[in-house]
Amino acid sequence: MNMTDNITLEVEDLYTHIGVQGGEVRGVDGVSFVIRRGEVFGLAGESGSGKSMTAFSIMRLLPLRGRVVQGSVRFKGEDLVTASAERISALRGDRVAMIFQDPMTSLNPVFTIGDQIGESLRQHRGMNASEARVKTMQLLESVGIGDADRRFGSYPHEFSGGMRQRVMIAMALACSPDLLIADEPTTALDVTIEKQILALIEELRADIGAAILLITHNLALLAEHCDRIAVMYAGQIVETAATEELLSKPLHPYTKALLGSMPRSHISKGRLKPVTGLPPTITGERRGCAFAPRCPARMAHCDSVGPLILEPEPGHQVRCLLFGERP
Amino acid sequence: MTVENSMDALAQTPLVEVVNLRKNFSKRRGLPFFGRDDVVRAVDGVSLKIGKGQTLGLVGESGSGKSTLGRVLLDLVPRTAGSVLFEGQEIGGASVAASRALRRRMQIVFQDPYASLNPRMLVGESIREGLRAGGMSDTAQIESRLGELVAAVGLGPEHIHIYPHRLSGGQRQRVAIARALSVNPSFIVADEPVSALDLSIQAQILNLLADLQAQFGLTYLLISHDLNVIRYLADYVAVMYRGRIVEEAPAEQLFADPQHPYTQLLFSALPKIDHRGKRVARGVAASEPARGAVPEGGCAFYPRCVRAAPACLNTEPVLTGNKHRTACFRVGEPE
Amino acid sequence: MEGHNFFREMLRSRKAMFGVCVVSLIVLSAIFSPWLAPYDPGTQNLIGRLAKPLATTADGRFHPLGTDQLGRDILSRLIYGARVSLLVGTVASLIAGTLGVTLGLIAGYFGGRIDAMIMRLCDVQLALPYILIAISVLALLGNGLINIIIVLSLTQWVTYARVVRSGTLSVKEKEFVLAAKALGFGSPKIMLRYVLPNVFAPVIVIATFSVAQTIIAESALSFLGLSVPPSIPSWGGMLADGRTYLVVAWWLATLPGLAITFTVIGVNLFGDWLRDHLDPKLQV
Repeated sequence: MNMTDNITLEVEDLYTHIGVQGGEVRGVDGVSFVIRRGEVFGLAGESGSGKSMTAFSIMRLLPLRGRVVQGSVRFKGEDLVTASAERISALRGDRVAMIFQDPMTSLNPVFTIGDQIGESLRQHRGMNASEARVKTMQLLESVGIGDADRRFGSYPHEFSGGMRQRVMIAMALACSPDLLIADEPTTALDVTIEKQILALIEELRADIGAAILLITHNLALLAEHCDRIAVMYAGQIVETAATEELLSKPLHPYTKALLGSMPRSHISKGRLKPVTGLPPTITGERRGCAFAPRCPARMAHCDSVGPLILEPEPGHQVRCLLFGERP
Repeated sequence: MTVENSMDALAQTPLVEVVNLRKNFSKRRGLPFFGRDDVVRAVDGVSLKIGKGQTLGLVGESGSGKSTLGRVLLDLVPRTAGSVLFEGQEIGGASVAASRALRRRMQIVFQDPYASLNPRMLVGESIREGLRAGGMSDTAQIESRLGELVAAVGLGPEHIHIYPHRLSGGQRQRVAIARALSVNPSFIVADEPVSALDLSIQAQILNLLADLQAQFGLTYLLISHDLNVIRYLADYVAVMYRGRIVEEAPAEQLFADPQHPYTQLLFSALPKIDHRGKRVARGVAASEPARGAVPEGGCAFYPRCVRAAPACLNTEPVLTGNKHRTACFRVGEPE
Repeated sequence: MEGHNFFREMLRSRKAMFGVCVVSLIVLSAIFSPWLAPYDPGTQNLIGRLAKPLATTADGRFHPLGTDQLGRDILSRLIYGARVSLLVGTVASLIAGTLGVTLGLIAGYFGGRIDAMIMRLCDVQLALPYILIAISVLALLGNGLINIIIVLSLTQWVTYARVVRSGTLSVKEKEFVLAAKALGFGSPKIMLRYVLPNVFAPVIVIATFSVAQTIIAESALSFLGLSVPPSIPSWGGMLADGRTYLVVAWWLATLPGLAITFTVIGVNLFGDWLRDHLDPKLQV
């Protein structure tokens, strides 16, 4: 069996630009990563880092002014960037699914949840209404929504945030996709609900063997659930490693700073070490390392030489001149 | 602050005291003239004391009523019942002018940095409003104080003559803090001050709040759903669930030994990275809160409680204990 | 800095420029009528009546747009007529706007019974067709420019009130308003400095449309003979007069009709553009 049979998603050299007044912003600026079958891959970053844009680029859900200008997104060998619109429609909801951040606005308020969950079943599996209903009820049970019979005909506004997110998960997993992209799935939810939702995602993932791309700014969350984590800054991935390795031996100064600036329950009082300054918006030519202005370990040529991705340890990649200039 | 110090502070007249505070919201249901009023008891009999120079951390999830409590405390939302005392004086009682002056001693910083500044007012103007409200009228004096405040929150003069939408979330939060400081308050309610900010900015703002407290001798009510944030700043912690305080203790004690089942649930739900970077397993999750199914006259946490007993249905638990108080019948009993 | 951008944007938009040009033309006509009009609008010349556009009458006078049934020069009457339309349009809208915005602010901010009362007032107003109100009030007060202005302001205020009220309802709950309360400010100050500037943008847009509507309304009332006395030229009046002569002398009615149309289009286009550009700026 080929090694590549094992790879669900391979993103290579992805560049996405977004048109704004007076130019273009490089939302995704050269991103590459691989997700294997059954793996939970975390994409960490703050606002403006490009993590959501990456997800939208993969799903081809970019806003009108956004476009992928370079790179490939190979889903089980098939390039999604160059695929036809019909092919993408066929794949979306069926083989590749996504759940979004705000459960309040991600569900259509005028359709019942039974309707919405059943929609992908009807579309991708050709089920008729009664078949879809049966399967939908099963899905509702599996995501922990009891009283499925009554809930089937309910509308989104009758549910709480946590419940709506469960509905979203049901919708996403209806056709047992190979890849699930979760974009800040629990950011808008309480911590106790968050725990349930993530447990649910893990459980279901184990059942159907899907790979998961988990996107969030919450490093602690990624630490708990991911096998590998990539940290994004200003549209680029600055470090990728297995979770244990990233947390215990972070290499990139940004990763270190991020970990150091988190208030954690075992640290009380004393000073947090924040990252000074603000994250940049990328327009125009990139000169040197995007993090240089804020980097505590900055060197003279960091402003002029753009760091390439290096692999100082096997499986641990970092984009920083501290580790050399050439791979 | 050590536990002993915080207890000493409480022994004197607390700077802010809340006694049996209630806030109800009623929502009309059904047809006009025939429908009923659904009453939501957002704040359901809360009593708190905050000593001078202390930080009380108020923890709770959505629906707990913590934000409502903050607003009712400052009389921004009228209360239904109970008293709010500042330096021993009821804030609502005095004449309009006196109560306004009293109100200025208590300020608030909100969660959403994008909604807390007037989008049509220059940043400097928002802060000047506060200075004028405090009675300053001399222009030179105002400008000079404005400069001081702006510097105190870590911004520069280039941030004064622009509109809020040009600033980032973290910068706006600094402006909000500067505005709060402009009237020389003794007490600040910080309602989820860093929840809407990026991780790296959160640390900056938390450090700023800590510094300002030391510099100006401020007293804080820190409201947050994030136990980590609370831990960082709070001397004393109160846990709120559905409008009631279910546990309160000095911070060290609460974090070392959470007693109420809800507090324990909150702790267990926290994703943890221990300092060695290893994953720490989480505890068992309780089920979704059943909406509206809170038993009348019983414990509000009953539907979700892993330690619920028949007694919990009939009687509402009250806070009992000495320094570490919990509202639960099952505390101290075996599992 | 922000105003600077605004003008540049305006110059760049064809829609806006068309609107601005038309409106400027009307305004200039109204102000400089005595200098722009080739003839006195009231002078009758029965020899040269019903002259075609671009015609020269028997007694040697050139009329670029022809003459009406009494031999009066149409171009001059159009130019002078702009005064009435403009005056009525802008002043009525101004009064309606002030009234409507004030009531809307009060209704939205205080809520409760005050809100209910004001809203019922709006409902009553809207239930009655404006023509009916106009005719009734004018019958009471008599014709005349001032009365027309009063009547038309009474019919226009409701839209302002409703829009401002709904804006106020959403803004008053925003945290910056609460922060102002925490600073100890009283209601009037909060309404004027904190709420009003943030609900005002749609008002400007409504105002431009309102001006257009008022111009049409005035024309309609003129048409019905309820507006200014016939000696003062007004577009609506010219329309009314020209109706009888539509078959033999189409220009009597058509030209004032076109004047009204272009004015309204111009004002509407400008209002359209204004609405798009007064929206809170989209940030990167």
